[in-house]
Amino acid sequence: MAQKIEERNQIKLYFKSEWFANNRFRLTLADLPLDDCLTILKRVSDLSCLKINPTTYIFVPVEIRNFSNNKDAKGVLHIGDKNDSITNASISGKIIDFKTGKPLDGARITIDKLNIHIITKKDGNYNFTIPVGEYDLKLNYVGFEEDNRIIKVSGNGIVDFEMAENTIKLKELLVTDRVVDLNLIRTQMSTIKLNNKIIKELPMFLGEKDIIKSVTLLPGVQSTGEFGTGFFVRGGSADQNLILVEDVPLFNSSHMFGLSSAINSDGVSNVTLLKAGIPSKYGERVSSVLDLRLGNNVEKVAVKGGLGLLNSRLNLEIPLFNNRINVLIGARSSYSNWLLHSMPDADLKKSSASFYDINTLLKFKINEKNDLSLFGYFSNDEFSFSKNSPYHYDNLLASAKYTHTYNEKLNSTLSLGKSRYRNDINQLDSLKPKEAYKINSSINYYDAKLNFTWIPAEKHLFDFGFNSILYQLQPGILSPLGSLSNVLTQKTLQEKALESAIYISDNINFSPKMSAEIGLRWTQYAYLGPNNVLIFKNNAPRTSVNIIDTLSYNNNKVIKWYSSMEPRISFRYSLDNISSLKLSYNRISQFINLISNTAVMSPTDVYKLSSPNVKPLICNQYAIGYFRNFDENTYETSVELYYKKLKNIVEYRDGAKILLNNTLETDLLNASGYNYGIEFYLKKNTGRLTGWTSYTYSRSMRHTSSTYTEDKINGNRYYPSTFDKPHNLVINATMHLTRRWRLAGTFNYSTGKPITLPELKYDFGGRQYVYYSDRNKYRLPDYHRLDIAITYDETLKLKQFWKGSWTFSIINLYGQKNPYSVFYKSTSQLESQFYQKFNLYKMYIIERPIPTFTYNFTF
Amino acid sequence: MKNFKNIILNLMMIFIFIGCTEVYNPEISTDTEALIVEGLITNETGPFVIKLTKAKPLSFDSINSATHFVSGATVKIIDGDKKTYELNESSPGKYFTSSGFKTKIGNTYTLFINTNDGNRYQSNTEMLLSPQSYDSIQGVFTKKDYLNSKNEVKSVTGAEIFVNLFKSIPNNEPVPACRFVSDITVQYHLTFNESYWEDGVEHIITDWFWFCFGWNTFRLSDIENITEQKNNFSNAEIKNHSIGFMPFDASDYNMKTFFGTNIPQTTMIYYLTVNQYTMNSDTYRFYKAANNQLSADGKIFDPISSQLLGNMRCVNNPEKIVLGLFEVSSVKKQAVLVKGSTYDLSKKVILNNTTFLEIPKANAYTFKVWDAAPENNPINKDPLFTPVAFPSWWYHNDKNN
Repeated sequence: MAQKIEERNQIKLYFKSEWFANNRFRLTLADLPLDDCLTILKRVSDLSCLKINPTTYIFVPVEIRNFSNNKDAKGVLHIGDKNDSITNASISGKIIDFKTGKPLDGARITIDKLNIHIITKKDGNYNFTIPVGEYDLKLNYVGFEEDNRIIKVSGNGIVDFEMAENTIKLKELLVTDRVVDLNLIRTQMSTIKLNNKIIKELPMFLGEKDIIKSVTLLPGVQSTGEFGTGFFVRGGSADQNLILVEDVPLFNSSHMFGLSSAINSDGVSNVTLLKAGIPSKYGERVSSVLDLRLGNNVEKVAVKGGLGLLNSRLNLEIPLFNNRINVLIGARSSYSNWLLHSMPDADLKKSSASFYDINTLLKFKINEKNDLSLFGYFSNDEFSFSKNSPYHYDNLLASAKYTHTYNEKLNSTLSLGKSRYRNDINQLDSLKPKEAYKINSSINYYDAKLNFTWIPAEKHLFDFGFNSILYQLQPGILSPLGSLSNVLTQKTLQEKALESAIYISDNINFSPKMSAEIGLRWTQYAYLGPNNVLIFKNNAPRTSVNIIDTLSYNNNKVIKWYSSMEPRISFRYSLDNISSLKLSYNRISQFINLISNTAVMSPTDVYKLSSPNVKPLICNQYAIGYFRNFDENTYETSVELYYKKLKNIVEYRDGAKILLNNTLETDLLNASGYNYGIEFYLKKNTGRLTGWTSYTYSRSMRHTSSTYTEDKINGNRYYPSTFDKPHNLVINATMHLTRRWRLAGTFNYSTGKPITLPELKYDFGGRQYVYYSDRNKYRLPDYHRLDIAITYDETLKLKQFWKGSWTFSIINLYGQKNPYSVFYKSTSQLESQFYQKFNLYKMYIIERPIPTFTYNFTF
Repeated sequence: MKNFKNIILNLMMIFIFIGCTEVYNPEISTDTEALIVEGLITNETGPFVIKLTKAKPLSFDSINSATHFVSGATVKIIDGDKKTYELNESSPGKYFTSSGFKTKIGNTYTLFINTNDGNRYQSNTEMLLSPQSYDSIQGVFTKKDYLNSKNEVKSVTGAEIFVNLFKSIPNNEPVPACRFVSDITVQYHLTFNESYWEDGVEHIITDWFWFCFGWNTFRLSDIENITEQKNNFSNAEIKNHSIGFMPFDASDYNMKTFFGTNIPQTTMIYYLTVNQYTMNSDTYRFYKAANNQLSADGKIFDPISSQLLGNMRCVNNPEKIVLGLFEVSSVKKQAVLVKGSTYDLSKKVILNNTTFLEIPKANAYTFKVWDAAPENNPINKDPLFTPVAFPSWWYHNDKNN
């Protein structure tokens, strides 16, 4: 056998024959390429093979070395021999107290990426087996600071970790930041991960860190405008983003319609944004996944908070019962109502602008193999421009997650979740008590997810499972408000649907240079009764005159099935140690759409499920990226190119009635489109100056393809979508002036968003009307804004009980008047004494610099 | 501390008053041309007029720009009996039906237009429905608040006019939509002396006084006033449909009175005409869409834009823009006299039915009247002493006026 291999490959093999005495090989093994042949021999024999020169190979027994001190200059701990060509490595060792050298019993090692939690035994010993690769590893022990390490595993090895009570955090932060070269080695592209340390450094908005607003500064992501609700990813609308908080989707991600994000950043430990190559375990929305995780697994009570001009917040994390239970409670509340009510103006006294939110997470470490977590979140907003029409909305999220580890190779997570979003508009003009009304709408979302992670063999990591979602939508109920109201109750029909999916994906590590993730998701969607379905005349536009019948369906009767097979592929090839090339393709279907014909997401928007007359949105995305780090990962750069093809986009007719419309389908149009773009990204990780800059050129185009004039937009020609802002430049930088003072600035420039403007005017019946241009023919002036913030940290001592920092920030430093929207308006008769005037107006949200002052603290 | 609080309050104001707006004059370049068709035929005897104009660029000054009439077109109406009626251009852009054109309830009508530039336009075929009449009308004493352009709250007292409709239509029958065009004619007359005030006492300096009277007509609603088109609704009846609000005080109208606006409400006559049009589906949709434009008030959550398309199309070039409406609606015209005053403590509003008539265009007259008896009047050739009589329709057959 050995002779045959030697002859075929013109090499010489050295080994002791007794090492292979118990093994039998097929002769065809020798026909394999040399690398593969040697790999199999090593695997079967548990030997290592050293290449002495191109023609000489020596088999030797595997030596398990101690790699405890094998850190490189960047602080990465290298485990295993680089020449080991194995894909799963066994790591063992001890965790010991740095001061005393004593083994730590009950210390915990966590690798989030693999969902691995290991507790050390009495002698401080541990062992686990993981695929080769680079990981963030966390060490926790009661009374000790959490210790974060980066390990690069290429083979088996022994590692003794030392933990110290007095870890110097600042250094730790520097070390961690410098070695994050995951951007190169992970298979996923178009992915941005922020851990709690990066979150700490995020820019401040109105004196506090805002996760979602920070996300809008990343390449390919754009905000809806000044304080707009939600964000657009690669030319997709805001409802195309799946915002998951502890596995449950959040339907309205902002407070006060965008003034602040709905998530209290203090409790957030990890944020992942996926823009392309979305793994098969995610579905539901076509543009992106923003996955937010709460809780830092602290070892002792941790309190964070802040006092601001608009709101204050507090976040508390408590470990209990030897860290077996972790409790997180966070809350925020605005006090703008109190301020408004102090105003010496009758109208303002009755105005309201307030919000609060509360979130809680309980993590139970039942035993080494079982974990349970319970999560709850509630937010409430009230907002009104005048005393007559207050808006209210609230979000309720809840989830229970149970994780079971069967063995080192298999674990599962079962989660049950609920998300509820409600909003209502009240019209309570005291002068018109007979016309007072309220409109309520709501979404109830229930889901069950079961996910298995399985490492069956070297090179493979499988994720598979199923999830099922029940949607219940109440698009709107109009009802009288007050006993004097004559308004008749008007109800739009509820919508119900079940979306179920099974999926599988395999993360394949072909070699250290090459990896791929290949997945498939099969989604089955059922639109359920009770409901009425409009039947339209054949070969005619879908207008109300062409409704020929309405079919009624009973409760839970399947009205329409939609099925979707969704391949997901990501591929990575490392060109060298500092650069890699990635490709991805994904197909996703979306069965819930936000129907909006307003300039911003508004309470009058309505969610609509896919139905017989509204087909599901389908998106195919292709992306390619080149990633390269410089100067020992001090600088990260990337260039990504993407192309998206969208089918069944829901557009609306001119003058569509969105709210309280039982024949909403007659106001909707089917469109298709494409988005493409190129994103340049440069990030500096270390030094006194840190931050990133990104430039994106992108387009987002839509068109209808109906043969009927009534169903055409712009005569079926392609037109820019509302999210089409070709040029977008972001510069976000933080300068550490001294150890305590830091200055941060964020500059944002983008092309003005497309708008439709009146082009012509004419008189008809004694009134003036206008004729609007083709949809989105014009653009608002370009947008640019500079925000700055200066922060002073009171103390850097770790043992200090109370650590505070003062932040003074100015939004819109040079007072740029960025128009938010443009509208055509006629004055009311009373205002103009029965003489109507018409004009085009532009509206600003912020037209001058806004200073804010915040005190943040932690203890 | 006080200053600090003020800063905070000012900051809050920034967020609360999101609607910081200013007039916007963007550069709009378009070579788009649009034909505007404004036509109405009803169940009344004609002649009816079809007005053809061209839309103007937005930047045109709306006050000074002349209407762009479209002359020289061939305009005809073909009815459901295949009879063709040619219209004659009696004045530029205005095409009138001839005396031979009579409409018939239940018949259909289609408008055809051939313009000089070779384009051929055609309307949908529109049916003339039976005229509907409201069952009852009433006025309710109402005080309204509104914000003026300086964001000050102003109050207006007047009458909200309501109608009840369709009581006699059986349940589950289709209910047509109605459009109300309600005009309030404000008639006033007043006398006053030329005088000066000293120490709280009025000193009259002439032995004659001024007498003036006039009238002006205003549309009651600033948007199109329409009722819902109902199909398959169990209850046809519409109660308390508001057709508009009319202030009592002359100063709340844009009245160009000769002597200012201090007109005592007791001398005023409010003549309200109600044209109730019964619309077919196309017309209903048009006016519903028209209201989207007319009622846009620039709130942050308003729809982005709303195109208003009618029932006309260009036959030879579907891309050619034609706007407006060829309306085929039956009409019922009624009139009431409205009595009410801001100072009436009983807050009663009385509506008396009266004869419908077309009030002439707004006018105002002023003349001098001697204080003394006619035989004592000095001879004065001042033409201002020539009295002007009230128009014959002035009292609307109501002796109490």
